[in-house]
Amino acid sequence: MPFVVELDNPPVRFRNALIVLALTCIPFTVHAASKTTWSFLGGQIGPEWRITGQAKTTAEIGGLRIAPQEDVKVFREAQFLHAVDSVEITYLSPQDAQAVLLWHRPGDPAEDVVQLPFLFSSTMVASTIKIDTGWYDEWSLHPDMVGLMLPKGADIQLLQLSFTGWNLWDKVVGFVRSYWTFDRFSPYSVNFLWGPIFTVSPIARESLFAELPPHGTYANTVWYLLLLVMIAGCTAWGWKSHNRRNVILCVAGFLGALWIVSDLRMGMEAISYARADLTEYWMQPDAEKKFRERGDFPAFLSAVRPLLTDRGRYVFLTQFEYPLLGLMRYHTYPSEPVAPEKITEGVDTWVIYDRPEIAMNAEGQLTSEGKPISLPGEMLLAFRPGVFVFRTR
Amino acid sequence: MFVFFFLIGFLPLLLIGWLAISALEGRARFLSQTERLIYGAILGPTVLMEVVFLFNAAHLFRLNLLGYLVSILLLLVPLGILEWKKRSSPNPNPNPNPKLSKPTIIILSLLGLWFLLKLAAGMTILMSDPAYNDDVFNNWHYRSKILHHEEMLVIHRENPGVTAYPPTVPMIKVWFALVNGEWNDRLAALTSPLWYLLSLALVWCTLKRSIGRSWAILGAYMLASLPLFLIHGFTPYADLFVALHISAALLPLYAALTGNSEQERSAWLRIGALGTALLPMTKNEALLMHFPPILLIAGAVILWCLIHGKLSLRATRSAVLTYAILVTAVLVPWLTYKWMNGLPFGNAKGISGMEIFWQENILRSLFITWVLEANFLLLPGVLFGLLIVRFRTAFFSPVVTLTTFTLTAILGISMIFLFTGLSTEALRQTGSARGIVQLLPVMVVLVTVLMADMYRVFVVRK
Repeated sequence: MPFVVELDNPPVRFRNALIVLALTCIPFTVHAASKTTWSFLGGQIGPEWRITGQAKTTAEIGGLRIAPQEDVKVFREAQFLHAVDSVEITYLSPQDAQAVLLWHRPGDPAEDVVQLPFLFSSTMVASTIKIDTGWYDEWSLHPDMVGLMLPKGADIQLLQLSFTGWNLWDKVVGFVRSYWTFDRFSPYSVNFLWGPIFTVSPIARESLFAELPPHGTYANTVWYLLLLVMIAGCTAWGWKSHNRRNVILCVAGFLGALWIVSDLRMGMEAISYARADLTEYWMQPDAEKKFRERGDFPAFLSAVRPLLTDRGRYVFLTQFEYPLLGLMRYHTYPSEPVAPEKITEGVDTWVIYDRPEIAMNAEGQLTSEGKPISLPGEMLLAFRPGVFVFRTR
Repeated sequence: MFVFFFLIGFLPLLLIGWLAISALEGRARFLSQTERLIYGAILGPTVLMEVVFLFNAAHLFRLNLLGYLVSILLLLVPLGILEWKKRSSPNPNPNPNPKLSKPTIIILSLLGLWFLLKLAAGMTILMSDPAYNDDVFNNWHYRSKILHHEEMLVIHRENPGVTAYPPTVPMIKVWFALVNGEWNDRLAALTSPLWYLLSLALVWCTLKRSIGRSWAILGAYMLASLPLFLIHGFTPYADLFVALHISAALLPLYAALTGNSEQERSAWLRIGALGTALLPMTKNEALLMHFPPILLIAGAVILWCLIHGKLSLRATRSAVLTYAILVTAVLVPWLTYKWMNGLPFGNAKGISGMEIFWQENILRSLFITWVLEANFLLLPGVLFGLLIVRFRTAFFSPVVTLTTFTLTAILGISMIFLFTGLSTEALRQTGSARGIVQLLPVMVVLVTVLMADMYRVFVVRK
């Protein structure tokens, strides 16, 4: 039976338009991002890989394990069939290691290898580092050599390297979603707000406000350019024909629309700050309260404050002196945090926050890396390991 | 409960301000009740704190309930008598506004709902931890707590740091702590939302008086939509306090130029004189950067009014005297206090001995912070465009008061970052945007007035 379209029937016409639109979009959606993966799993390492420098390398079932005895380079030639916008490295590492991503651009002299430092954070479960290489001007979409430089003393197990090229659809979606990606409320938010940032890379979007400054283009740059084009266009169209009223209204309307969208975007960011506070702090039980980047410090502070009100001075030790020392000083005023040297002046209370090397020994003394640093005393509050209040007898 | 104590504590401050404004207004009675209340709410607390400061600096009273209550009485009694004497003066009949159309009501309701949502978000952020930011726990609230505990002004003589700042804001917070009976972070932080709402109200009133209700709605919306202004509305910093005092010093000058009678112009000048006099008591940069241009603009406005017959010689002399008396009364004790205690004039960092040379990359950094980031949405670009398109209005009409100040202040801030060691503040973005936050109410009034002018010229006249 032939398919009959009744063009004079608006609902059917609308439905068919939707079908045509959907069919048109299919090529975008089915054409996924292009990806090349070099896997080291199952001990598979091709002859194309080269290593310069002394390193103990083991091809294991779980990947290529490299323990350099000096700084080494692991690299190979590459012929990507697609453009490469980002690199993902899946690895294991028992300790932090500062590494470098290496690549060579076609046409450059052989010795000109571009280096991009990055960190292998210690992890005992397979983790993936995602690098938005497309952000860097020095990156080539078709590098002809790619590799890693690993430092002496590192112990890295490489599982796989992936190289992704985003298609147009990915980029459009990334672009739109990046505008509605919000920052978190941070100490710098009172000084400035990054605001919306456009980026086409989904990887850049994932870490938009985690890696600062954000990788992308300020939305205001785009809006100002559009406004300029709009003003130029409208002026050319209407100014000479004495249609200035329409020109002004047209530009004002466009400006108003941009303003409202920007207000919505930033207002929603403010609402997201409040929502994060509500869900991560206000609505959590005391033991699980986490406050912005300060974690459980506010909860600890609340627990500690009553123990310090009758103490003029107390020792406060933390690995994060800024801002925690100022916060302690403010919240416990008129009690005052002092340095450990003051214990000879009768200061008997120790407040320890995030100093895992400080603990109480069997004699009841505080020790730092095994050495006693206080007289014997008792634990007044054990918040969690490395976080407690101690008072000497 | 602390909100209740905040409201109770604010009443006498508002009353002092309201009476002071009413006294300065004289028998002209041209201000609306809302205007009187808004200017009163802005300047009242500062007037009271000035008196409390003088008593404490002179070792007459401590910063305790007695000291505050005596100061309140000393202000309320004479101001009350003045008000009582002229209470028979009629209030002007406000011009009835035309009724709003249905679509306008719907749009305004939506905007109002959106504003309330943002307000609720801001309050949640603020109440989660009022002392979250560095300048709160190291400066504003910390100093307030010290003043509250010590009951006197405290200065670190060897390294004055933030104790060199004017004590007004901490003293306001001490008053609320005294009313509450003890220090309360959340109570002390409520001053910021109050200043935020007062800024919106002041912009609304100024625009409604000069260009009408519709433009006032637009101006208030514009200011409310500026993201960094919202953040400061819910962070216990003092930049909005400075912004309010700049506005209370400058906007009356603009109003004086557009005033309908000599009486009205004189009254606006008296209100402006009080705002100008109190400005140095907000933050150190207000004394160095904002006070001098505003005083010069005030001088120019008075001179212009005299030359163009808008003020008689007698009224001119009265205006000059008012400025001289009020400014001297506030500035001389404060400068003497600073000099006697060896306090520097910079914000936490002294300004003497600063080397002046061109700082690399600062221009780019300022452009990013002011224009490209979302701190002020598209306001800087719109302002720049309007200053070009409406050049004549911006520079050859009463608006020139706002234009001159805005450009001078921006130029001053830029010069400091471009040529001094404070450039790191711009590179790290710790101070450059906050400098603009202090100018925002004035900038929004300027932009809205220029927009209205453009609309009148290009759209209505067509």
